[in-house]
Amino acid sequence: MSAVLFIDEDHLNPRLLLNKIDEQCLVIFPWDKSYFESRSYSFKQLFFFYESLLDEDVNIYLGELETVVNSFRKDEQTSFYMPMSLINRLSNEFLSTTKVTSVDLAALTEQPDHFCNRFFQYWREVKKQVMS
Amino acid sequence: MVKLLRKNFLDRDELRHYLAQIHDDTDESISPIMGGRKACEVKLANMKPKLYGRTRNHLQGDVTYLSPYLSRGVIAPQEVINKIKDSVDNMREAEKLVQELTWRDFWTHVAAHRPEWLWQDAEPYKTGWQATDYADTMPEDILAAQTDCACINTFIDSLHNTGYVHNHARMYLAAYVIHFRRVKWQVGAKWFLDHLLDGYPPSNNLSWQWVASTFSHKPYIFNLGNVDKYTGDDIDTTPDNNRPLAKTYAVLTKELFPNKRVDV
Repeated sequence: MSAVLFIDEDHLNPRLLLNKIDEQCLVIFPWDKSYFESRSYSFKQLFFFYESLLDEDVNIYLGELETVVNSFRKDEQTSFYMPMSLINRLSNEFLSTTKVTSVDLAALTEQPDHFCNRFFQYWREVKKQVMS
Repeated sequence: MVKLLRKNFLDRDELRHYLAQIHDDTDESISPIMGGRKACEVKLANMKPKLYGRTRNHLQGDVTYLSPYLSRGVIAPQEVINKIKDSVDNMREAEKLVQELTWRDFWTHVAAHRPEWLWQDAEPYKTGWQATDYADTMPEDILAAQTDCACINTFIDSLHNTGYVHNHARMYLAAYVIHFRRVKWQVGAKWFLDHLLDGYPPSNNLSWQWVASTFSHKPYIFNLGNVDKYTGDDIDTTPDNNRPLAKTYAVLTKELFPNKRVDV
């Protein structure tokens, strides 16, 4: 059985995600040019992403996201993990044939159960959590 | 087809050339801000939580410069909080910095409840203008950093050349684009996202809405005196080089929002 964690430009340190996964993972960053173009990322931004990955135990693969993910499909038992931001980029067709488990960064605060539309309303709700 | 990309480079310049080849990019300029956990940890070690509260509005103030690393998941906010706890006797001394870290959660919370607000006006403008009164494109002189305000040009250069702008200067730029040039906040928000290393749509876009007054009670504006107060000698704040900003708030309010009395 093999496990693969895919990360994106909003999750450049896989260690923050790996500690939530209960198995050894290979970590892959799909370097998807067409996606980057769709986001209009500047060269500076792309450079920052790539340079950040150099500090991490991550393999960077050039190719479109679904193609890269498929290339790591060894057998039916392969476990795929990725943050929601990557899952949201996969097509429904792809997701209908591939089981993907989401794994995300922990937020600093537990979200209040009601909507706060001004910051200090939100702050009053979460202050104890972060200041204690 | 997929291809494994290289990870060993002699220096940043070699990486720059390699990446430019992959992207067929003619603009190979890079930010002086280094990516990666090691660079992030240097910033973390230099963090001054107590001074942050007192100096954060000054462009030379003791801000952390951690935002690109937080925004891109190089470091978790909880790690920063833990470091703050280690460096102060009482967390109240670092409350402003903790609040700043919490803003990101707040914007995420708002975007989760109202995702349409990422690109649509949350509320009407409180400027006396209708949304249709604002332009759909960014003026060329702004994109070229050739406006008639020297300080604004410097902030634009920082955005374009480094992918980073101090938070206070972001507010100046946003207010200038929206209120002084009457451009839709969405245009400015997209412009920032295209350049900022820490571009995070909920924080970025909802902050633009806050300046615009479509997510706040009143528009945020500034004048040259305010820029002069919070910047150093590297920013040209001479009135002759910043004429549109060299006015009192009363005059600016009258000029920028003539259709409505606005309590700014």
